[in-house]
Amino acid sequence: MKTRRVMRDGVLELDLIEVFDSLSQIPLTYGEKELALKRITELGRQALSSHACTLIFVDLESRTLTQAACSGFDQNFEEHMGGKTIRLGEPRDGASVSFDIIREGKLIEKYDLQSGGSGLANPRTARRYDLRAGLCCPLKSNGRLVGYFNHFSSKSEPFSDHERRLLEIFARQAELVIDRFEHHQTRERSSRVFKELSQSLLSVPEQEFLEQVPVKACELLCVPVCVVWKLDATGRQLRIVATNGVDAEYQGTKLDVNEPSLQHLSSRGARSLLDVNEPCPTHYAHPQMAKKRGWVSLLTAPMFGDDNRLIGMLDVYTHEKRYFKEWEKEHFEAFANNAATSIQKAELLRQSEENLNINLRLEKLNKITQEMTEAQSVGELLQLTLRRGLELVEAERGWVSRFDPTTGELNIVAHYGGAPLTRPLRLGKGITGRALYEEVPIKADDVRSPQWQGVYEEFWPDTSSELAIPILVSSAQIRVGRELTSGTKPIGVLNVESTKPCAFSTADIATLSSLARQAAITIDKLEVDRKFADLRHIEREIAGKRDWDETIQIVLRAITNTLGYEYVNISLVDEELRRIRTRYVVGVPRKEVEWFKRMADHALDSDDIQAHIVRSKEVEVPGVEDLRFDPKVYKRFGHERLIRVFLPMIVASDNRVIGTVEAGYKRSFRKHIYERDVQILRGFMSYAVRALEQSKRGLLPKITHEFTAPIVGIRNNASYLRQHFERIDPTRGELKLDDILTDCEILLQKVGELEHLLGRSVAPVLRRDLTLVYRDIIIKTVNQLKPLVAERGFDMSMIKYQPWDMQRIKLYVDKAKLNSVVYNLLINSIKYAEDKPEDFRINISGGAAGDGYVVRFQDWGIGINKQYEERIFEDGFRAPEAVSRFVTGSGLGLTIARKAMREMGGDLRLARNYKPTEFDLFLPKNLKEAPGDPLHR
Amino acid sequence: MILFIDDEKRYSTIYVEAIEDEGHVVEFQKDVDEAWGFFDANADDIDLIVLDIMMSPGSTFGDEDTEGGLRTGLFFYERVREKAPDLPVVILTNASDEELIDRFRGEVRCWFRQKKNYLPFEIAREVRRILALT
Repeated sequence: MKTRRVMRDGVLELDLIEVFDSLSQIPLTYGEKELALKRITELGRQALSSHACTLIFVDLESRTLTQAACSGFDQNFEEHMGGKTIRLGEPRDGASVSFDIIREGKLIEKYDLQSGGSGLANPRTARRYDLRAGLCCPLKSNGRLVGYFNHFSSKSEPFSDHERRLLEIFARQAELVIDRFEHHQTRERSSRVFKELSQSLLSVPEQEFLEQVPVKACELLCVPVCVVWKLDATGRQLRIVATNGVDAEYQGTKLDVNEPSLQHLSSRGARSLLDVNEPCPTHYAHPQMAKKRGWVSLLTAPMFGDDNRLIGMLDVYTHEKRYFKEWEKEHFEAFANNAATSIQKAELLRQSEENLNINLRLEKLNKITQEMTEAQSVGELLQLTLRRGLELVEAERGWVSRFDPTTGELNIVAHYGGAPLTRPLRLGKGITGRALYEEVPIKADDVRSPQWQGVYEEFWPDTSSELAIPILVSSAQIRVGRELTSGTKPIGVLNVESTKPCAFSTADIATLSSLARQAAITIDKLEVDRKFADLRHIEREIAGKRDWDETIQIVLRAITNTLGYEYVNISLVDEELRRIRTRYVVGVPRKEVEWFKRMADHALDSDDIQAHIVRSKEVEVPGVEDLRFDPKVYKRFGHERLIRVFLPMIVASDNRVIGTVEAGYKRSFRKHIYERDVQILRGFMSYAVRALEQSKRGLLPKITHEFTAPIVGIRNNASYLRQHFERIDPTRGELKLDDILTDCEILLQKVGELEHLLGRSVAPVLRRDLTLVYRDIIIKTVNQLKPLVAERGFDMSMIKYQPWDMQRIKLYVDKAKLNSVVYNLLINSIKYAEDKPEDFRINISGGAAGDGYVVRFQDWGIGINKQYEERIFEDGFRAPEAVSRFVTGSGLGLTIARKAMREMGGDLRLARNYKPTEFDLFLPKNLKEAPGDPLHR
Repeated sequence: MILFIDDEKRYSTIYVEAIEDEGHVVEFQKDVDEAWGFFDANADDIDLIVLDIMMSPGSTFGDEDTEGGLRTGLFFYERVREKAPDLPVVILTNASDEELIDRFRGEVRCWFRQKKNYLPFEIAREVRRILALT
């Protein structure tokens, strides 16, 4: 169902939601960057109701600005601005855009563009296209200024706070979209490049194949230079074996693997250098050579072969300073791994020109790779792996097992050539379990020999030799702390057996390892695809939900059942109390849940990990010893056994953190949190947060609707009075006026709700009056509500208060605030009174309590169900009983009332839930100071 | 007789009085269950219905997806149509979302009127005009 329109002037709420939705779709729907950027400016113009919007990229090094895209009322304007590169400088130097203003990287707000340009525009252009004022928000990437999103107005009026905020939100979203667009494009290029490289492996000679590697690397990252280094036979020197964009002189360069600048070769992962010309040798081996060739930035990745042995290195260079993004490094690293495997295969092909058998195996392997891509399920793929594995090494029997990380068992998925196998295997046990645990192939030439005693587990009595090949993703990206590194991901084991001793050769190990690696990569991809597909389905389910709790329950099920986490903790921020509290938890024994919630409750400014995540807005996988864990919770709930990822729940539209998600599993059989799973969870949570916020946003149409009723009421009564002015019966006239006053009061309350909903803070009161709380507030409010009491057919005299209280409670208070609190309590008592007029009763009594007073409001209405006692002060919460009685109602009244009381230093509490329902209003004698309060001067 | 159904009596009285001033007999119902009961029993005597949209669904429409009552009037209307396809119905509401307006756009003998656009005496005139038409 479409969202309802809620505003008539300016930009509609519906339009804004649609704009942001369309914005997030850009990476998937646009193929060309130019068009994607243009679309961003069009949407920006729509969101901001701009005269014109432009997106510019800046290069502070070269002091230039490029108009990347623009959207305006006039095609000439778009043509005039499109693609232009201008020099940044100062007006005195003849430049229209000030370098000093731009380089600040802050929000720029300039007026009077038509006369002076204000360092933001060419005044001639501004006059020609009627640009009078400009509001420009910086765009950043990796924390670095890369451009601005500009909103131009044809009026000279100052930009409003709303415009500034909206522009900042839009620009933050645009940054993400541009980043995702580039990521998407690189991903597409990456899969094309891999495919082409794999196809040419068998179709071209080795050297020709090698020469294609740097060309494809340049294509992948859109860089001009690539160098492929290979470790020579001594294992000490790296020599260049292929290049793209490199002169002959450089091609003769050699590097010693032990030199300090090549330390990174010992671990996987791509590493970038911003300025290769830095003189420090620990950063770069030959700066002079790079400088001579105009190379500026370097991205380098080691190449590891099938046996995890370093075989070489891949470098790409740029001619301009380039900040490689994390995902670019990730793709480059994957490319380096793939290239390494291919180079090894190409080498084998060359060496085995006379060895037809190996040659045939490699050809077969390539065909199997193609076959694997067609498998629809993990089971099907594992069966294929077993079948083809047996064929490749001509073994008579074998089996394939799948690792279950929750139990540590290896369950047999398929077997061939012997009796069925039913007993599960365990990680670390037997030849199979050890192969996966140690992450190396294990070959037993004679399983009956003493070497394998106590290790070998017999399945088939006549087995003599066995080969166990672990199926694992060897360089999966994992998250440690906030950093990304690589680790292994165990999937299963491929076992082949023979009745003959010494049946398997080293070549068999290499062949099956290659097969298992391909199987692991494909299974990993299938799993990711399945998770995505399941989540899309779940997201559709969420879209149909309007209830917060129901939505959260679906989210929890998705995190556990679909994403496979055993432990989940969703904590929500309580802005009012400045705390973060666990609200939903999975993986804690049912009877302990309440204890957990009580303990997992921390101040937002504390050192607790949850509070830290809220502040940093970063995803993190903290180590076991992390000091930010609450030691009490950690110890009592055995958290040392867990590995967990912590994510902030961020509202994309305003970058606000509403809570955190913590998801994890036991460390016993899973060592890492995989980055791909983190990204899937992050994507899903941003959808879920948006859905949750939208269910809250549904309040806005409701409140808007609630404005209409009293306004129409006032207008109708005024119209009546006007029409019957001359001959109206005074009693009737009085009733109409009472109605009008009540509606005015209702409207004032609604304004408060709207302000609360929009998150606007109300300025502190500068003046407090000495107030007789009963006379000036309570009795006045009771009288204002007279028409509502009459509407329900109740008797006003049943609202009782003690006459002796009248003069007792005398305070300096913010009258409007207290009035709003009392109004909320009384209107609830009237609205939710039982339908029988004879049972209607409200008692108001007051007394001293400690350093202040307590005013108690009692009613004998439908009450508050015990289970909702905690929730009635929550934003937007309405008990089902309330909803069934009154369709409208924002569920904000009590939230606002309690907040108002606390701001004044008092409080509002529910003392009893039913017959009578009792609310206690605490009023301290020394009310909290407000800045500039004359009372305290 | 005019059946006037709206759960907010305080805001409805002024409309009811204006219609009565035009000489019609108005039966006001604030509860959908009772309103449906009344309609069911007196359908033949009812010349026109004035119907609000946002009302508690009660037990009559409790099983329908009224979006928590935001669409109760729509279900009431549909049920009226099953029993009295030609009965004039004036939808008188504060709701203003386009989807709802679209829903009623093609309806025959149904007039969608937003309260904000009509003063009570204008609604009374509308009722008179519609009754004269039909």
